Amino acid sequence: MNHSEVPGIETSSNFTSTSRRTVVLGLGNPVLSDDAVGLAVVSALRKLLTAEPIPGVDVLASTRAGFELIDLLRDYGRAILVDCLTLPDPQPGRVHRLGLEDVAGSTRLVNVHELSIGVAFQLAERMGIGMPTEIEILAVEAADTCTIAEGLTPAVEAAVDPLACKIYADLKRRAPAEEPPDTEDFRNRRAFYEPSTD
Amino acid sequence: MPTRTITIDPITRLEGHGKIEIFLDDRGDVERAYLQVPELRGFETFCVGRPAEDMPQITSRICGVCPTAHHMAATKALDDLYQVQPPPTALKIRDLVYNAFMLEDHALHVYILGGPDFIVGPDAPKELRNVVGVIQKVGVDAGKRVIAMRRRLRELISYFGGKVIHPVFGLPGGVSKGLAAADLPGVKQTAADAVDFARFTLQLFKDVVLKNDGYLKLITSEAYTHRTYYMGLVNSRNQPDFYAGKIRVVDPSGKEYASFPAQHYLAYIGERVEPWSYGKFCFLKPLGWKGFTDGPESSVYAVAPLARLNVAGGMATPEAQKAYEEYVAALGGKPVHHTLANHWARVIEMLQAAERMRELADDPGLTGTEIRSIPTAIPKAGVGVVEAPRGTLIHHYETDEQGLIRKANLIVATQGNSARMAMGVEKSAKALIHGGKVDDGLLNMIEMAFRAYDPCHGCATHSLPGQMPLTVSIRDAAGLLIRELGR
Repeated sequence: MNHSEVPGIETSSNFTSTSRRTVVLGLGNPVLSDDAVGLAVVSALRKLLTAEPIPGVDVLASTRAGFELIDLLRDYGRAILVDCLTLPDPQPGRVHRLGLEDVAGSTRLVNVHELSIGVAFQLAERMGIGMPTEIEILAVEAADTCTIAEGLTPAVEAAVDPLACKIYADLKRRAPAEEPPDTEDFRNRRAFYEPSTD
Repeated sequence: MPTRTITIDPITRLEGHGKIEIFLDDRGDVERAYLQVPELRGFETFCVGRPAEDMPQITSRICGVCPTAHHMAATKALDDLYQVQPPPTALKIRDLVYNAFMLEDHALHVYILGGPDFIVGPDAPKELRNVVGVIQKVGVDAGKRVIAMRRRLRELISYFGGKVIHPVFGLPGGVSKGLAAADLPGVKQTAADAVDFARFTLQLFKDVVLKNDGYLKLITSEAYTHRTYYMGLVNSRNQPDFYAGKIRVVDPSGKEYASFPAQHYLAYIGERVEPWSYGKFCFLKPLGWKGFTDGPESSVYAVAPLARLNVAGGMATPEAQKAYEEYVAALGGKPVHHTLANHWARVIEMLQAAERMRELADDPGLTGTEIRSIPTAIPKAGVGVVEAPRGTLIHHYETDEQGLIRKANLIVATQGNSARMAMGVEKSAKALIHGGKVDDGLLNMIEMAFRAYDPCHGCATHSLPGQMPLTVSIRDAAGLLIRELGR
């Protein structure tokens, strides 16, 4: 695919990327109780960014993942994924910070429908598609992901704004001095995948 | 007397969550095997009181796997609810979008979910039985082609549907967006490339799977064979139609058992609940529930690619028809009762979907501007049906005179296959586990029995599971865990 080296970027991993832009991607199902937490966090973050923008940050939301991860993440330099986590003995609202290595070995993690994030990255690498060199996965423990309903359970709801603020602060701390180059491709992705803020 | 239980939980590469429990007797042979599926709660509660027009949006979000199928079944239920006939252009656009979706979704299964079983091989080590293993086998260029085609099909769907996360497309009586004449060449190109892509996939399937005697033997083996009824949508010439038509049912000998419009589904489809599963098992209501049994005495039916090809007299497009004839001849005539033939049937359906896209792209009516008939009737009840990739999908709504939902019922595709899947798991477990010997390869063979159906257990939860993807628990008669294996 069409990626080239950009001066000033350290490519420390096997993956190459072309942009100094950062993407924050929320994953989840909007009508499945706490499964929607990733979407809620990126909506809250979108609002913060609208009020006070940070250069070079795109916010996207997806109800799927799998293959779509490649379409959504390719060419970004850094990616932050927000998703929900189900554990046998959950502490709803607790946030886990995971790296790609924590989920890479699984065939199922992140998306049970298609391919895992780990396999998506392996696939992209094999195809020569530039993927983010820096990945962070923020997973919020859920109380209920089996009831068809809008809205989160209280403990998970309470975690949304603090997490959005933390992500905002982190983006702010590492903000580039000026807006990194934007492309048609990034603009298209924003047009289709930006989260709603209503 | 069952002495121990083997649990496979969760099933790898299955869409949605599932769990297999195998009960062994004291000789270590399989006594019974169950496929357990959790069900999402609260669908009806969620819908009651909402405007019926919201249903295409709501139901498409319930499932992240086949949102377009739910969107379209709901849209057709709204047509019926408001007794409105969409203009021809709107129907063509729906058909185009739907076939693009079928092709994209089937490609996903062939290359990612089910493909690894065959393209990489059923006995290959687990770490290779995934899409990366598939790419290793078919080559990077083929992999790039799959990714590029998938993206373009999704772009075509997005052209009409708008934002992926909030699709707005189907409306009662039509669609929300037509095709601009200036954009037609792009659609034609996508359709032409789709046909090439489907041909390429069929060729790949033939080269890798059909030229391997071992695979063919596996497909036709008795362990993966069930003589049941079959259900699917057909057009007036008894050819598979994914978007429209009547529901046709054939018996285990291939003879027509019933043919009816979706509105009559309650007269034909019964639902059974078993104490060991949250899921419902569909059967043919006029025959009554006769248990998990096949053959002439069965009332179990199947849906999805194998079933659709069994209820059809032939395919709706020329190249798919040719492929279908080879398929029927190679598998010893119709109906084909081999569960694993679903994979082959799926590839043939990809070809029909692509050829149908091309027909529609060449249809001058596609770029018409009349895309909606405005509903005027007072709503009461509506039923809509489509062939989801995983089988016949029915949406049924009842509303008050304001169009607010009073009752909502869905018959989802996987439910149609659930009885046959349960039978399949048990049969392959019995054939493959003897004297308590259970290894990874055997378990995969059992999973293959239902992965062929591409089951999707009604949920779009994306949660990160906090455990290994596959665990096997072995319990003694008292229910105590005596051994646990993890992948």
